[in-house]
Amino acid sequence: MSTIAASNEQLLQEIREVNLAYLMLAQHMIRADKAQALYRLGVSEEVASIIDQLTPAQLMKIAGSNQLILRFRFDDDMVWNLLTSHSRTKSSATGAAVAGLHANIVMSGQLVDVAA
Amino acid sequence: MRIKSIVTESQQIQRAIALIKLGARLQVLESETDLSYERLLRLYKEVQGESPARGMLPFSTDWFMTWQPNIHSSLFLNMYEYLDKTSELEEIDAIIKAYELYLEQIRAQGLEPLLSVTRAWRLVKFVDAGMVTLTPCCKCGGKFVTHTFELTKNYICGLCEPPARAGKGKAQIQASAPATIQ
Repeated sequence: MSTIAASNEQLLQEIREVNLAYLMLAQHMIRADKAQALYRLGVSEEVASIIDQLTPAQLMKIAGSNQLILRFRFDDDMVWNLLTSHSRTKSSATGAAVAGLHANIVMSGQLVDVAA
Repeated sequence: MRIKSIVTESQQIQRAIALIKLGARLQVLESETDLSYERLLRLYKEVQGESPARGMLPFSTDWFMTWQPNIHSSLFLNMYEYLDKTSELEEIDAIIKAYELYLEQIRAQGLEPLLSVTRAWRLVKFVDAGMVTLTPCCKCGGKFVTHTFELTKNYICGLCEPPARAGKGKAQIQASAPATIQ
């Protein structure tokens, strides 16, 4: 029983760390270059402005949750297949790189649709 | 042309420096800033340490339709459209930022950038002029650069169905291309 509680406590600790690291990175990116940060993060301008304004105390508070505050930004087979790219690449390094570009094009196209 | 505000002038110089560092041709700078040709020339020499390349800019839309350039152009244009839609940026600033993102992504994949910043700028101008556009592929849904009035109902992109000789002799293309696309 105590080992379960301990591993659960460790899980929560790790979630908090990921949350905090994500928020701090996001804030750093938004402050460095907001337009590029919007592309990298895939969040709306409103959300970016809110993250930008957060104080360290607020960051800590938001991070301390039992839920992750970030989630996958693509949920279709297409992008997953392209990113893992088992299907079409002919085992060459450039083939894999081109599949990576294909995934980028599909993902950024979806971003434009969401933003529009 | 005289620029009245010193602040505007300094912004334009910063913009010109960013473009020169990315390898833009002088024609791009002349078109996107109000700085005089002489000042731009001096700035170019100061930043790059050499005189700018001479000659005309590439003017054809066909380059953007060939297989590998099309992939690179499509990646850049998707990034540009995103920045353009989400942020209140001037067009040239959006081009600079999107091009930086493009370079980052290409290098992350271990490839050589095929699209020069001059060509990227040209591509955006072609889109503005309605000559080329982004068309969704009916297989993957990704958007790719095509001519505006092509039949695009069942468009399939060059990545879902690569042409027969796509990528053949790529070693030579990649070795020679970065030097020739200024």
